[in-house]
Parts: sequence; C-alpha cells; structure tokens
Amino acid sequence: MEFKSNTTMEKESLTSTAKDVYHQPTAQKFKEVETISGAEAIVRCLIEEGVDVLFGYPGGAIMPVYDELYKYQDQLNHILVRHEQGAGHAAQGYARITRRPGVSIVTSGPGATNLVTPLGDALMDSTPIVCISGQVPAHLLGTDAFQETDVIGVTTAVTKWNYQITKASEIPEVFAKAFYIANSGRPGPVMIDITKNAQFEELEWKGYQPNPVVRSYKPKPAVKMNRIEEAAELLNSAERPFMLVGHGVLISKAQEEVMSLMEKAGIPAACTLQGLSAVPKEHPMYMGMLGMHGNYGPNLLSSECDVLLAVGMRFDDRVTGVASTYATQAKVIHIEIDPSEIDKIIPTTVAVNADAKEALQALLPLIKTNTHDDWVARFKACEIEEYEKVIGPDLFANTEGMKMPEVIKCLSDLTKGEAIIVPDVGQHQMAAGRYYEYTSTDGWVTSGGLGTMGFAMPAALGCAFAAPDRDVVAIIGDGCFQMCIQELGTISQTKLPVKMIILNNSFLGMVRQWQELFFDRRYSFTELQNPDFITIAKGYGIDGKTVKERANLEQALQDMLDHEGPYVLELIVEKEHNVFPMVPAGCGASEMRLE
Amino acid sequence: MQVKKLTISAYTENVVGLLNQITLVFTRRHLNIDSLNVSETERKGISRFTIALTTTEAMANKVVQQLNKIIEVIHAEYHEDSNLIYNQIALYKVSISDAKKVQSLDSIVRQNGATILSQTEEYTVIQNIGHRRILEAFLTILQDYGETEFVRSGRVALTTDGIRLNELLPAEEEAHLS
Ligand SMILES: Cc1cc2nc3c(=O)[nH]c(=O)nc-3n(C[C@H](O)[C@H](O)[C@H](O)COP(=O)(O)OP(=O)(O)OC[C@H]3O[C@@H](n4cnc5c(N)ncnc54)[C@H](O)[C@@H]3O)c2cc1C
Ligand SMILES: Cc1ncc(C[n+]2csc(CCOP(=O)(O)OP(=O)(O)O)c2C)c(N)n1
Repeated sequence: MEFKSNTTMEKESLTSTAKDVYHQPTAQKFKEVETISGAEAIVRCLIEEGVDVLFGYPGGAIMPVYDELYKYQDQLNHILVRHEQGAGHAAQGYARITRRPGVSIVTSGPGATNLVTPLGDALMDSTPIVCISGQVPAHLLGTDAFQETDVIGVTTAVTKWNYQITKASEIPEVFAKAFYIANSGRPGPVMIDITKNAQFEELEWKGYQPNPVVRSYKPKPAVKMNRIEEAAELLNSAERPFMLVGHGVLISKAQEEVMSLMEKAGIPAACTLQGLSAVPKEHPMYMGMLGMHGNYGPNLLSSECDVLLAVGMRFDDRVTGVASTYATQAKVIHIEIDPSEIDKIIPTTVAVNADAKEALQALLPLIKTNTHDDWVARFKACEIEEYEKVIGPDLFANTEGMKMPEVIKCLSDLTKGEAIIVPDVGQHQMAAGRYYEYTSTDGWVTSGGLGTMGFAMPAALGCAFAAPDRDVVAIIGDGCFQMCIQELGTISQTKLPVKMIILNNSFLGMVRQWQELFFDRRYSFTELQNPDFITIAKGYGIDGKTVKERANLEQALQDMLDHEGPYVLELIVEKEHNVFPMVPAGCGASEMRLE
Repeated sequence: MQVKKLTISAYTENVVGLLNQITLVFTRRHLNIDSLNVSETERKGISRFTIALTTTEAMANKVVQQLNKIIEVIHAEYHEDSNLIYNQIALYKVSISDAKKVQSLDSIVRQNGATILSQTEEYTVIQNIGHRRILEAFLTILQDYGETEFVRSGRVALTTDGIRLNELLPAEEEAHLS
C-alpha cells in the first residue's frame, strides 16, 4: 500500500513560502556587532528563528516592538487578530501543521491574561508556541502599575517554560532558549514576558545562536536497545497484538514507521482523537478511533488483546474510560518521549522512553513478518456491527433534517480525504473525527486535552498560513462559532481561503446529549437563540450561504470549496441527534454502547 | 498502597520563580508538604531542595517525574528515611527568670545535647538539633519551665545511595559552560 506523506510534502511547500521573507543566510544578514534596541533584537531573534508569520495585538507595554515590526514588515508578516485568544490559537494551528513553533505577541495585563486559554490548550496538546507579552518597566514591577499582571505567576501552571526579561542584553539568549524548549522533546508553550525598559534599552547584537545547551534539560532520551529487544520479543510472540497511535506519532513524524510496523507484524491499529490522520482510513490494518466516541472494535477488543503497543499517546481518560479496568489482561509496551507519562495511568510491561520515530526505526528490523488474520477478523466483525447499528443510519439518514455524519462524509469525498480538517469542540468534532476519511497522513487539528470551544476558527487561519496549498476546512458548532466569532475580521483581512462550516443544531449539542442520556432530558441552559450567521459573515466581508436540505448539500460544499477566499457555509442539521457509539462516564472502554 | 514518610531531594538551577514551579506540582495534586528546605549546594548556582512529605511511593514517583519535567530541575528523586541521614534544627525561647529554675534548665539542656545561644534575665534561647520527634519531645520538657516560643527548620538530608551532583553535571562540563 502506498500513501503519500504530507509531512514531506508540507516541508517543501513551507520552505518555498518562508523563503520569500527569509532569503539571506544568517551571517550576511546582520553586521557582526551592532548596537540596537531590545525591541529590534526581539524582531531579529524571530527572523533568525525562521518565523515568517506572527499573530498579535498591540498595546502600551509592547509598543516599542510594534514599532520595529513596522520597520521589518517585508520580513515578518504580523497578523492583527481581534482578540488575543485568537492569536494564541492561530499560532497553535500554524504549529500543528508546520511542527515548528507558532508565535503570538501581546501587551501586558489583559493582553497577557487573554492568552491563558491557548497556553493551557497548547500545554495539554503538546503544541509548540512561543508567546511574547509586554510588561510594565522593571522599576514598576510589583507596584500595581497600570496594566500590570504577574504574568509569570499566572502562566507558570500553563507553560512548559516561562521567563521574564528585564534587561535588553538577555534577549538573544532567552529567545534562543524559548524556541529550543518549545519545540524539543515533548513540545509545549513558552511565555516570554518583557519589561518595557528592556525593549527601549540598547544591547550589542553579536549574532544569534539557536538551540543553546540548557544543562538542566535533556529533551530527547536515547533509545535503549535492550528495551527495544524486549518490545520486539513481546510483539513477535503476540497472538492478539493491538497498537494505539497517538499525537506523538504526528509530532515525531513517524507515520511511515507506524504503517510499516502495522504491515510487517500484522498489527491492527487505532488512533486517539489527537492521533487521527496519522494512518489513512483505508489502510487494511487501520481499525478506527479509540475512546469515548471512537469506533466499536478498538474499544471492545482493548479488553482482549494480549500485547498492547502504545505509541506517542498518554492514555487520556477519554481513551481508557475507567483506567483501572483498561486492558488489564495485556502486556503493555509504551513508546513515549516524556518519562512522566510512563506508568502515569497504565502500568507498563516494557517502557520505551524515546522519540517515537527513533524507537520504531530501531524496532522494525527486529520484527518478524507475521499475520493475525483471525484477530483482525474480530475487528472487522465489530465494524460490521457498528455499521449496521450506527454508521449506516448516520450516513444514509431518512430523517427530515441532515445529520452531521453525512455532511462530513460528503466533504471527505469532495476533498478526497486530503484537506486539513479543523473541528471545534462538541458533537461536530466527534462526527468529523469519525467520518472524515483521510488519505493523507497529517491533516487533523483540534483541541483535545482542554477541549477549548472557539479553537477552530483562529486555528484554521494558522493552518492556512502553514499550508497555503491545501484546503483548510474548519468544522464548527453554532455554540463554538460564537466563542471566537470576532476572528472573522482577521480572516477577512488576510483574505486567506479559510472554509468554515457551521453545523447548526441550535443547541450546545454535546452537553444536550449528556442531559438527554444522563440527566433525564433536563435541557438546562443548552438551547441557543442564534443570530443570522451569514449576515454576520457578510458584515465582515466574507461570503456565505445557509443550506437546510440534504439535496443541496453536495453542491453547497462544492461551491464553498471552489470559492476564492474565505467562506462560511451554515448547514442546519438535526437538533437532537446523538453521537454514538459511546462509552458512558464511569464505565470501562470495553463497555461501549452502540445505541 | 501504604502511606509513608518520604523525602524528595532535587538539584536545581538557582533561578527566580522556581520555588513557585516546584510547589505547584504538589498543589496540583492536593498534596501537603511536611517540610521544605532550599539551600545552595557545594556548587555555585545550584540549589538543593529537600521536601519531606507523607504519601505513597507511587505518588512520590509521579511527583518526582513531574519535578524532573521542570526545565530548571537538574534531577529529582525520592528516598525513604532508611536511606537518609537527616536532621532538623529547633530554637526555643523559654521565658524564665527564677534563678533556681534557670539552673535546673541548664542541666536539662546539657543532658539533651542542646546548646544555650543566649540568656537574659527574662529568657533563655536554646538550640537543639535532631529528628522531629526528639525536638518536639524536648519542647514539652521546656514548657514545664515556662512559656516557650518554638521554631523548627525544614529537614536537611543527605542520601546514602542517591545520585551525586558530580555524576549529573561533571565539573568540567560546568567549567566549559560558564
Ligand atoms: C468532546 C471531546 C471528546 C473526546 N473524545 C475522545 C475520544 O473519544 N477518543 C479519544 O481518543 N480522545 C477523545 N478526546 C480527546 C482526549 O481528551 C485527548 O486529547 C486525546 O485522547 C489525547 O490523545 P493523545 O494522547 O494521542 O495526544 P496528546 O494528548 O497530544 O499526547 C501526546 C503524547 O505523545 C507524546 N509525545 C510527544 N512527542 C513525542 C515523540 N516525538 N515521540 C514519542 N512520544 C511523543 C507526549 O509526551 C504525549 O504523551 C475528546 C476530546 C473532547 C474535547
Ligand atoms: C470554553 C468552553 N466552555 C464550555 C465547554 C463545554 N462544552 C463542551 S462541548 C459544548 C457544546 C458545544 O456546542 P456547539 O458548538 O453548538 O457544538 P455541538 O456539540 O452542538 O456540535 C460545551 C458547552 C467547552 N468545551 N469549552
């Protein structure tokens, strides 16, 4: 089977977009030693790091840097968002596709606190972003100065690393450290807070040293061959092996290695929500999605496999259900870069603390070619059962209104499974995860760990900057659409072809589903009176359309995809459709309900 | 799993804000710290945190992993009391002026291996070093003599089998970095 890898495709397209702004080699670009302002040094650091776009919002405490951004406009593309939360999520979207740090820049006080949600989101979803906030002058720190917030205090719990710069001379070193920490080992968000005096002060610019040595930080553990041998032994003698593919596979770009292992060892595999798109849907050994709203087989058979191989995933409780009952019969191999994730939730038999790609490359030659036809057939049988009870009725609905799954399937067909899909949070997210049929191997960007409503619209904008040659489609609930609705303004101003589908059920659907199933249909504050979304879009200068009838769905989606520039397609869907199958709260994964 | 007295020992860079990052690991998991001590080590710029807490080994292990994740933490590990040589220091200010009583206090201090740091007509300040139990027992004795103000430090500990700073950061590496 041959699948093209978008990771390599992506790289090429990126270098060509970045090249326009980042043309000269470092050495020639800036003179050997110069005296420049801290603000200019900040901009130069960004350019040195190869940043080509940053998302931000100005204010008093960051104005010196904005003045430099004005001067360096030909080299750094600053995008003015409409709310700092949007800047953070856009940087996340950019980072998730390029696998390089996304950057956002904000002012002190409210500017910085508005970034807390994206920082928390990026920390949970291992996303490298570097956020810069202005701060009151150093001599006013701690005095409740105008727009002063203790940014280090506030962001410590939501960052991988943070630092307050109070002297201009610290800038080059701290920026190099920030970018290095954000994107090495397990990626994550970094916050740099810079007092205003450090932006005005001068420093001697002596060039820029990226990837500095940080002696207390060892991000990439070496592959231990004895562990790999133990893992190979377990896999080679397994009768019912099962592989869990997580976001770490996308982060380490190990999609090819994962597929080789699936094929060579005959291991069926399933993806976590964040790992989706690592394996194309039509791969014969791909069994679907794990977890609460995943596919039936991968949940049910988690309690029957004899060897469980988890790669770059952290056994989130949405995956395991009640963790103490998860796959207790299985020997567990966990390939994971962050040692604190190993044995955190599920006890391992063989712990491989390493980068996924490096570990799999070491493992593959030790794996015997094998098949497990009877075992794979068990998954296929589950798939048939799920198809009869859920998938079929979802896709070929005879209800009056459209259902979310049929919309996603149609979109999938029209985009040949190659688009970058950016769902928001809720039922529509689950429908997108379950029904988009990836043919590419890197095209899924959503907020999983924090589940931040409002993520999708700005994140999709970030994706559009990251991959200008791919279709980027945000799939958004009517509730979520109103959480970052102001970013329509940003998208309109950039004119980038971000396609936004609103799946409008006039409810906070995911919460309503729980109210229906577990709170005796008491719909406590989940029904929405919505605005006319298309009028709003048009007000922002973005074209759009509302469609209610199934018969018009395909044409409407095609028109949206063909439209030059951004577009909002509002689809009115069934109000009270539920996402099934489902692992009810308090149950184990193998107790999944089909209806 | 059984709850025990465990001591976490961590080598760290000496930077602003680190104490906050370290305590967050405990607050997040709703864990109470019994005592905490931070001091510079034999190596300039490197601090050592000694954190005593009562919890299970499984929890201590998770906390240690989480501490190791903090960028400026060089290495953290946990120990049981049997692998530690540890002590705490306590100061006692006993309000006592009766000369006879003062005399008998002096002998109690000597018997307990404590030291008198300062003495006036109104009070005596005594220092004692030892394990928590002993320091607290000594307090009860002193309280019979008069009103006693008491303060005790966090635990300082050296391990018998723990990893040494030199193994973590060889001296030449440090020289070449600074
Ligand atoms: C409404 C809703 C419903 C949800 N339902 C489900 C569901 O049904 N099923 C589901 O799976 N999830 C579901 N989620 C998402 C869930 O909460 C988690 O976000 C998700 O399961 C995490 O997936 P992950 O562990 O693969 O990714 P992450 O949380 O991103 O973890 C990635 C892991 O890979 C490791 N890693 C990083 N880099 C490397 C590397 N180079 N090499 C090796 N390892 C590396 C990291 O250390 C980390 O442990 C839902 C979320 C929402 C909001
Ligand atoms: C910021 C935020 N607030 C609340 C929630 C809880 N929540 C999860 S899904 C959901 C409903 C989403 O509604 P909608 O966007 O209409 O999507 P649907 O579920 O109907 O597809 C809510 C309120 C959340 N995830 N994020």
